[in-house]
Amino acid sequence: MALFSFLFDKHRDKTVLAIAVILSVLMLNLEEESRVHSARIISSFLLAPVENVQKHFADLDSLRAENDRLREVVAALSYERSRLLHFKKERERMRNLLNFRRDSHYRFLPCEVIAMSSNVYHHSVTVDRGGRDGVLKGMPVVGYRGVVGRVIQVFPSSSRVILINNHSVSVSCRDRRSRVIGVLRWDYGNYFNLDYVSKDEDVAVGDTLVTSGLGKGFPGGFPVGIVFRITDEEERVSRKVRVVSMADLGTVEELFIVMSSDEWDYSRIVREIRETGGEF
Amino acid sequence: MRDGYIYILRMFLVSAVVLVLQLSVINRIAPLSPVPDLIFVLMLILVVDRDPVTAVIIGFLLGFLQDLGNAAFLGMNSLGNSVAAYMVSRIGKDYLPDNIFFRGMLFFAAFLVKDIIALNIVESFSPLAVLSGFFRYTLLSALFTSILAALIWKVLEISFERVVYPGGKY
Repeated sequence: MALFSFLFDKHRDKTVLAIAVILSVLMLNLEEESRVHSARIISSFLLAPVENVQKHFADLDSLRAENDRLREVVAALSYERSRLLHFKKERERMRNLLNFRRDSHYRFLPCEVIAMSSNVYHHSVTVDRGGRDGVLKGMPVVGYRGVVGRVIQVFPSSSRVILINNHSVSVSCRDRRSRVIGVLRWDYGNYFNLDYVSKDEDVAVGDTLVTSGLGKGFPGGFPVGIVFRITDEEERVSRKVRVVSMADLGTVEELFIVMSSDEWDYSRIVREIRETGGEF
Repeated sequence: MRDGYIYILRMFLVSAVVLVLQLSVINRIAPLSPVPDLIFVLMLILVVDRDPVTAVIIGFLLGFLQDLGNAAFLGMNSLGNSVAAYMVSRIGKDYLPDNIFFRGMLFFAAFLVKDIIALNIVESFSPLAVLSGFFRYTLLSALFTSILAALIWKVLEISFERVVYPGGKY
């Protein structure tokens, strides 16, 4: 009783502060996935109105311009597609003859960023697709230009994506020209280092890096960044390779969740485009 | 009693709006560069002339709200905000003159305290990484946040004249 009186009468402010600190430290040590999952679902619902607000602010002129540009791209891609289909059939015949395994094809689920993390040391975004759309934890996320991150939490109607510009994320990459493999780690901003590249390996400024597909973290073949500086130091056995990311990670808006690597289903893709109101 | 409930409801709505602004608009204005922390600004305005107990509770709750918006480190903002709120309430109420310069300095120091705690948690107490983050982000963010908070505090001071609600000004 005396202790209680000492704590809550004489040193009330310090006691409340101590309780707050202890609670915070306990929360820092919680098993996040299980105990705070429901709290995070609430926060995802809180952020849902942001999406609607942002839609109101969308600039109609820029949307029209983008639409015109996309029509041009579609026209060019339609021609390119017919050519590629021809090559694909030819290639499949050759692979069958050589008994190679079948190719994988990815399905992309378009999504929009509805919130960005307020923490400058832990870059993540929330997108408007969730468990109801078939999103699963661990799915890679790409932008128009290249790899952006990976899904780390899935809510019913939204998901949280950790971006590759985090110290805890590393991406196994391959030099598209020389096929040299290294591990990409974030430094700051849109700049990365490609680690584990020895001095005798062929990496040059201007080379494009793509995901290697090793380690199962990210599927292979997606562009990640471009080498812009290489430094060889005498006392180091490896080269210091500086890379700038393809995607501007600070302004990500429209992204694609890489859903699966099932077989190429032409009729299903046509059906999906028609269902979403697109012309084919 | 009724006024108390209305006040709590109003603060909850303001906090929700500020959280939405912080998570959507602010990051788009200045991506990957130091940005003001709006929730921290709100907290500073709320706690600056309150008693330490209420200040710590407000700091903890707003920090927790901020934690819910982050992908990891649940408890980090609750911890940083509680300590900063206690500091602001203690020093601001008892020791500092009631003018914008001293308030700005106090807010600046509070942000530094909060962010150094956050940096240490994120960087696992690695001194080099903490120093790097401090000079890269914390200093400018602290400057933006403290100037913004001091200006808002002054505007409220002029607009509402002294006491608006018992136990604190705002």
